Amino acid sequence: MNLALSTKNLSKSYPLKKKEADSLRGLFTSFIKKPKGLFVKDPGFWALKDLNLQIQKNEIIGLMGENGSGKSTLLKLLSKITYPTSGQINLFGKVASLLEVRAGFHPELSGKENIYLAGTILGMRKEKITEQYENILIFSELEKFIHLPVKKYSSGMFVKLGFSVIAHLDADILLIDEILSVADEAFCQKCLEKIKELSSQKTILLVSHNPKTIEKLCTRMIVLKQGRLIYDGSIQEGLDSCLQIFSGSL
Amino acid sequence: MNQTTITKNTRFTLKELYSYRDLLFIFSNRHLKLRYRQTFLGIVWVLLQPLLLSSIFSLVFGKFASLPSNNAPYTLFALSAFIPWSFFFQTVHRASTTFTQERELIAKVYFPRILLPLSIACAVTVDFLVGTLLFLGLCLFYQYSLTLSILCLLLLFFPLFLFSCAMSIFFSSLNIFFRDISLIVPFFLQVGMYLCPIAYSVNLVPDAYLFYYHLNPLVGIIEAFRFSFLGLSTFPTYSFIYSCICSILLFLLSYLFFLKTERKFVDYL
Repeated sequence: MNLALSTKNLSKSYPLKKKEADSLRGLFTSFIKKPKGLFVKDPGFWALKDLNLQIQKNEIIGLMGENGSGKSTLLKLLSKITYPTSGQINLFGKVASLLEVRAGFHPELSGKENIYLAGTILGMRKEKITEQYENILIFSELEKFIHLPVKKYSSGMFVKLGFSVIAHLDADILLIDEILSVADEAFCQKCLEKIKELSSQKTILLVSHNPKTIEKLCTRMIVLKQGRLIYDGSIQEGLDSCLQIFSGSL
Repeated sequence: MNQTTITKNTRFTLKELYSYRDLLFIFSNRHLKLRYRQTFLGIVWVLLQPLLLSSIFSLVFGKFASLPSNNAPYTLFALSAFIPWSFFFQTVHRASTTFTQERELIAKVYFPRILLPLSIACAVTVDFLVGTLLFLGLCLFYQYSLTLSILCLLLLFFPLFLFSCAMSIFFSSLNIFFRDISLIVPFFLQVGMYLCPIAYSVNLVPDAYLFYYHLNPLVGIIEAFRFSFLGLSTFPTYSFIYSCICSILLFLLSYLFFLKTERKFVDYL
């Protein structure tokens, strides 16, 4: 067994009703109006329900699903940003995630400072980041702009920086949300090649809406729908059945 | 290979916190940089603020009202209490909104969230040191002779730091669930300044009120700071011990409160 991560009955629910008591005044008035209302359980929205997954080392998983199918929730749970409502996750190694274009960057700091910030957030020591700094810089193609505060960066530049950082830092499991599409074609290709190269040491979970990317790159495919796993297996079969599912709903 | 298990009861451990020590440094550094780099006055402001306030105290309370000042120049007398108070004020004021301000970071990447309020306290420590240097400079100016009791500062800083962190952690966590906290905290801080012996001496408090007055844990801490800075003859032993016990207890309580609420942060932000 060479497991990279596994989940067991993983579920996450979000409150559906707008919380009235998000201010002290709200708490007070809702208590006056309907004292019992405070204790009524919100049925909630199950963004993810009873997910069981086993992912081996060195796999490149393509994660597909419509909007709101629970892909991002799954990535957020795996990267410990939010906690499961029930069930459990086992991680064998360090996780790094690239969930949104501007995720984890501080706008006032320069590109260089943000590389150090991102690395330390992953729990790396400063010397190890310095070792990788040159590689990150070359890969990102941002040498000219690295001393500018990142608030001046374009979305494409953010993706370049973000991807370069997580590709070069010592995480064992990479979670990449659908953001590569923001970068231009050439850089996107470069990233996909890098992902392929990285998979010899790492495990990668990649969200994509592009069947071509998944076909070219991934070794296995997972499809979510309304918070449940509806497909887990080979790419070809998955794409065939998936196209049916999607065309049915479109 | 190290294995981590996440369930709904997972919390960060102290060991994990230690492995993130570099991040505490980076966050504190960031606060300092943004503070000193962006504002035009920068470091001058950090000096000017306590200087102006203690001069005004000296004018209003020392000259106009002729209040006693333990035989020290009133500016020094006021400054000796304003420096620790300012540490508390700055830390709690800035920390109380830190989680809502760093929403982007919290919602998108994982790190022990408690580092955010702690890093503010660390950054404000630099202001505290600058204030202390200012005090020493003014001592030369007024030719006020210091005593060895100034070395107590090193020791006194711990309860001040602990108490400030306790309040910061508590209010910053609470602010996630009740956004009005960010309006209430500045008001209480303002009131708090009058309830602490900063502009006046604790000797002015009538005996009948003295017990209630000392319930405020900051009173003991600030009195001890004044003793240390000005080299007064009597150390406020009892009220200082009370403040230390309060600081430790409140820190533990607010830490527990933080652990209990931390897991819901992102869902409420």
